[in-house]
Amino acid sequence: MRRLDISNVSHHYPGTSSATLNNVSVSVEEGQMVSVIGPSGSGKTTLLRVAAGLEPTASGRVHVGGVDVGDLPAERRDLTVMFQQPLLFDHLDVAGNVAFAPRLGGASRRQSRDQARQYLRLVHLEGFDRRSVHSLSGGQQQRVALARALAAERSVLLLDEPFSSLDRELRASMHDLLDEVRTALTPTILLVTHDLDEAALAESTAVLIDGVIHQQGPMPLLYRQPATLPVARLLGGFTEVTGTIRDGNHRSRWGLIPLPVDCHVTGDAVLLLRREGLRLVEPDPVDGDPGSLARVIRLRPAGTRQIVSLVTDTDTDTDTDTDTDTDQGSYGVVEVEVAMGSDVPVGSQWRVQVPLIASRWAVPTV
Amino acid sequence: MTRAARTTLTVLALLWLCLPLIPVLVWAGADRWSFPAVLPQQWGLRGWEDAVRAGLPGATLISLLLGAAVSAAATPLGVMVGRALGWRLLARPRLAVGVLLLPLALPPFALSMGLDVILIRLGIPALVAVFVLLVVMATPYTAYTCAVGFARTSPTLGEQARALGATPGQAHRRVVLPAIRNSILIAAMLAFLVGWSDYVVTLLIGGGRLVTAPVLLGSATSGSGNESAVAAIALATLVPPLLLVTAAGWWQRPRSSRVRTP
Amino acid sequence: MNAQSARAAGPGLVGITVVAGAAMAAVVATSFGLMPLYGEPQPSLQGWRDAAPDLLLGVRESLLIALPAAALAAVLGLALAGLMLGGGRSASWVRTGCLAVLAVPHLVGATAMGQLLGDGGLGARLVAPGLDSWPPLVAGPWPVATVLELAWKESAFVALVVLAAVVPGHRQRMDVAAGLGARPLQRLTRVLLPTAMPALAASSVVTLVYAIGSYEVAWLLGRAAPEPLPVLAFRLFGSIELIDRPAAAAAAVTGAVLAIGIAGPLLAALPRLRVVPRPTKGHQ
Repeated sequence: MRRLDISNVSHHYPGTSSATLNNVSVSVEEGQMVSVIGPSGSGKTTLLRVAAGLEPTASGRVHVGGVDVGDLPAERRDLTVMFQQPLLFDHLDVAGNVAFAPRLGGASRRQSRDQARQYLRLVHLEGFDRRSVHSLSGGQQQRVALARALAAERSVLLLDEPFSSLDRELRASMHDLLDEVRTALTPTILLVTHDLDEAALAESTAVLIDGVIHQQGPMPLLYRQPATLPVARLLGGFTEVTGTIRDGNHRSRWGLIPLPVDCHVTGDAVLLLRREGLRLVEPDPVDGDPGSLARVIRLRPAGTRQIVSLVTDTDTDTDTDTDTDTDQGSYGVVEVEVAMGSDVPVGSQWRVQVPLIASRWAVPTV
Repeated sequence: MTRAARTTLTVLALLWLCLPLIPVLVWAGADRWSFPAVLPQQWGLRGWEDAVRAGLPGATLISLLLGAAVSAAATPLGVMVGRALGWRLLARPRLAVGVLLLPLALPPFALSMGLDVILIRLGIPALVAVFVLLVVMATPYTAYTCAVGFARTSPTLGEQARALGATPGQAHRRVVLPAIRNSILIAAMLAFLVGWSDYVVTLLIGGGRLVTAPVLLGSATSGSGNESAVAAIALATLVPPLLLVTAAGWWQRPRSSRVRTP
Repeated sequence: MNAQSARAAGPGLVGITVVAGAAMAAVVATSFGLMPLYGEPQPSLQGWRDAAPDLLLGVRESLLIALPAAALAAVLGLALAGLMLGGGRSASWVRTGCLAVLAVPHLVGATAMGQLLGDGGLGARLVAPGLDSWPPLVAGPWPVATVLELAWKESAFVALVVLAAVVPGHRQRMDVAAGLGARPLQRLTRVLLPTAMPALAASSVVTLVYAIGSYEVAWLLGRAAPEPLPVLAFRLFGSIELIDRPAAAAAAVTGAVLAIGIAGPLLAALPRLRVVPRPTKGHQ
């Protein structure tokens, strides 16, 4: 297995002025998996197609195992792609599909089919070799597609939202399968997805928004310390409060809120509060933490929890130099997560507390 | 494939497709074109005059009517059979497909002969027999075209309409048929072509009294030696179907299919 | 509603069966003397005996025309489809050309071929000034003009049928194959061709059967003898001699048997032939 390095790749589709990819760099160590997430239209699939050689690149380089593959056509790069649709060849049976790449490599029919059977076993489809591809369910087809990609035995595996067309349960079983495959074969994988849980399977996740990589790192880190506002919005679950940062504190209509030491943002900044870290307390607080008075406007379920939407009124304490444009008696909406069945009726008033310093972060105002 | 190779192949392809029609085009505008001149010595429209005298306008009209009649009859039949095929409503689809293949596989001259024998016995007018046989021969085309269209449309479309209050008839007319409008138009066009282009059935059963454009062409081209008139009749026989098909093809053209991947 | 819709197909299917069945029954009966124009039916094999020597020659001539025409149409049709798959302006030019050729009635095509390939035709004028050096392509010892006309028209048909079958998902199939390591030639032979094969085979069978049954092209462009079956049958049928009728019918029956005999087994042997495309998944 070899490493994949995509360096400074820029790309735009002919006939469009804006760049689909703008100086994007992503690296995947040998045997590791890196996921790329981003909203639709962010350029994720284009990035993958450029790496695969299916799309010409305006500039930048692609290296596999240190070797520049930029001038090579797709079939000669040491990588293989799996797409969102299984796209099985219907003139071949299941084993024939999986054996496709080995056959191209010169293996005899028997050899390649034997090899195919091994990979089918890996994806839990033993005994399916002679089946027609049309007789398979969606999940089975995707597994055959995975086996087919693995059977090509290339150094790098590129996965383009491979499980997004499957339902949640199937997707979960495919994630387990992917883990098994990674344990068995340790391929180098670049996974493009919009499913955050899927992205979290990787050692590191790159966030691609509007053709630019905003941040790359392990998923928990992205959740805790998003680098930019678009990243925070993509991951979701934050309440945003605009204001400024001075001396390690964020000033806004919420008051003065201290930030973690490793947050180095200064100047105009958006305070990000993870909603599961916020707490609702009765209007007269006993502890000294600053909070804001807020009124419940909406409740909605979220799995086994509830998300409470509250509207905050400005509190008294404001320095004159924290006056911002937003401070015209404006009300911000904050979302707090509470247990299902909590007694938080619409219209009731609460103080919103930010008890854990770890659930705060700030990003520069866009 | 290199740009040059593609261009060369395209030119060759277009040459293959268009070359045979060129002499007809030239002859239709030639008053005198003696061998071995490459171009006519004298251009003119005398061929057209001769063709008109031979009955071209009337023959064209009859062909139009016949084509339209065949289309009008074969298209609804095709829609009904096509729906049963495309939505897999038949218990034995292979049987239906086999039936539809009969008029395609059986030689027209055999079918015409048989029908001619029958019509003499039963006293059916020749025109009716020609019409019926042409409809039978056109229906496989209309049925197949509509079947493809229905296969691409969900059967639940009509159910959806009925859930909104439409009667079965309304659901069919207002929702289902418009959804496969393209297929129906192509089917109607194909049926028209069958009726318009036919030679054997019209000649054999019609006995030469039903003079359509192809029949006129057949007699002109095998006898007269007047190449200009022949070319004129050939063009007149060619132009309406050509216009119809290219109009349909242009309208149906695949829109720019560049894949925009996000 | 489904049963009702299925029944609605009845008139069309039954109509075809009745008309085609009755017509064929009548032809067969005529060939055995059971449906004479005048007089009492008299079962006899006379028609067949009269026609016998010409029948064999007719079968040979029909196949001599139909097989090369179908083969040529298949090869050229595939090439045209391949050209159109490349996309771009050349694809739409070629597609328009194929549609135009499809629209041409065979009789017009035959006329055109005659004016191109005949002794006084455009081909002769361009290539050989002297009449003697132009080969007898029309009405010559080999049915060259006939085969070319049929191949010409049917190549457009084959091209459009193959294109329609291959285009859905073509780009993705090629990407997947490339992603699995297939070089351009391998993508052609191991993916494109197999995908096109059912459509190619089906349209070729249709071409073959059509060519066997085609009258006007062979009549116009072929030589006087030997006659392919349709021309033979037509001539005998139009003859003044009443006794020629059963022979004409015998020729017609032979042509029909030849066509069905070829079409039936060949089409049945195509395992992956989906006459009607699979309904679109995921939209129901």
